[in-house]
Amino acid sequence: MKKITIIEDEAALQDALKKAFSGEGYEITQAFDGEEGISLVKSALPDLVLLDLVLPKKHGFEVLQEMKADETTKNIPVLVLTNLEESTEVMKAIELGARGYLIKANYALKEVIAKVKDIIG
Amino acid sequence: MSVKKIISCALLVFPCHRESGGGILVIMDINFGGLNVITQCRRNHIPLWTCGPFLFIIMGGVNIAGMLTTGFIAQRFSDDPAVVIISVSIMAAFLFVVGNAVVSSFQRLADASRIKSEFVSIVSHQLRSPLSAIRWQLEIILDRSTQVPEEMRDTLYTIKKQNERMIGLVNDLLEVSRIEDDRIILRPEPVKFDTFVEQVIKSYEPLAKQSGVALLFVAEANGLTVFADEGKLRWVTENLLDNALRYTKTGGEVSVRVLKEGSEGRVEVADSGVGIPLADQRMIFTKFFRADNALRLRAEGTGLGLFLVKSLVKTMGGKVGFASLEGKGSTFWFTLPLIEGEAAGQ
Repeated sequence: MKKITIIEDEAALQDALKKAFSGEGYEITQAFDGEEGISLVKSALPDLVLLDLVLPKKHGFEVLQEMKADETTKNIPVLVLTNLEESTEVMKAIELGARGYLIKANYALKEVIAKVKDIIG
Repeated sequence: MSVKKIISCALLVFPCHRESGGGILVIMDINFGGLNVITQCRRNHIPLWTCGPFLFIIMGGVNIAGMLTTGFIAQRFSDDPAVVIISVSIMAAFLFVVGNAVVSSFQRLADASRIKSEFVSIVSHQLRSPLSAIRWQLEIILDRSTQVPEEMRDTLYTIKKQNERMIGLVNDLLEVSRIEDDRIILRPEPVKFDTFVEQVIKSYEPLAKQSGVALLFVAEANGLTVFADEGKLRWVTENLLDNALRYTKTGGEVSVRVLKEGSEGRVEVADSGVGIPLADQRMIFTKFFRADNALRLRAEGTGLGLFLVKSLVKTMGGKVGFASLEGKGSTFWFTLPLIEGEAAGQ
């Protein structure tokens, strides 16, 4: 069973993502802030990380940077899932090594699942 | 004209040319957007002494008065240059002070505009999170359709539709804010123009059928490629198509043509709808503007669509225009530069 870690501070969004991905047969671990997120990724070593950017305690970009700096987590694909849409943010996420950048409000859950399946199957 | 009226006239309290029958006072009747300056400052809740357009006129008045006074002093005291120099210096200093107030007032306007853009941007981003949560939670409920009672399903679809409408509105506001701040994000790539437009039209066939409007497509040129942001191009085409269908009554017709015009590809969306009143045509691409008959026909709508269409097409290097006759229909068109050969991936 493929594992996904969701780092997202909004409980309602976490809940929806967990229900949708569990329904597709993925194992889900959840973190509600950046610090919890990076430690969870290091311990759970998931197959993919769904990462929000505006997070309490540690910004999503810092989480991404720390993941890419760590040998054990640097190859884990990260899909940024945010509502920020400025070109500077998109560019920075891609430069830091994110595999994709999705605007939450503009994507249906089915489309998010399809993107994840494209990356990890 | 009485002295009181002349003073009011000079202060632009009312349009003077109607009273004075022309002449020099007409120069002072400067209207901005159909309002005289004092009304405009009051409408914007700006005190007159900090209101740019008002101060600008005062500065003009001071300038003229200063020149006349200096001329008079120069003539009167032509044998005493010191008096002339002092009077000119006083006038220059006074003009400097008024000029500074004008510049500051315009700076305040620029700051207010920036703050408004930031406000729209922050609020829109904050609105997106709960809207995404509603969208996704609804999707989960509707996916379990067998567990949802039939009578509730229609209600849930209505909520879904309203949620999507709000997301669209927030996205439009964000796009306007980006356009105003020159932060528009473009991801241009070669797009097969005619086939792309045809696909967009196909996706609108169910809506056209539901509205009882005939939807036709004519490709007068084939194999056209433009270099454009596909998402923005889709948004522009859908917006024009949506408007055409929205303002065409049952039994009417909407036809879309794709053609080549010199080095540009052109899309024309013609409808047999309500048309745009002549008086409203000048404002049709203005932000938040909606024509009178459009408001009467459909209350909902923000008046952002055509503003965004024009801004986005312009950003992608194209042009936008329209021809319309009230009661007969409208034809909106846009062009984009074509690319050929290797650049077009041929």
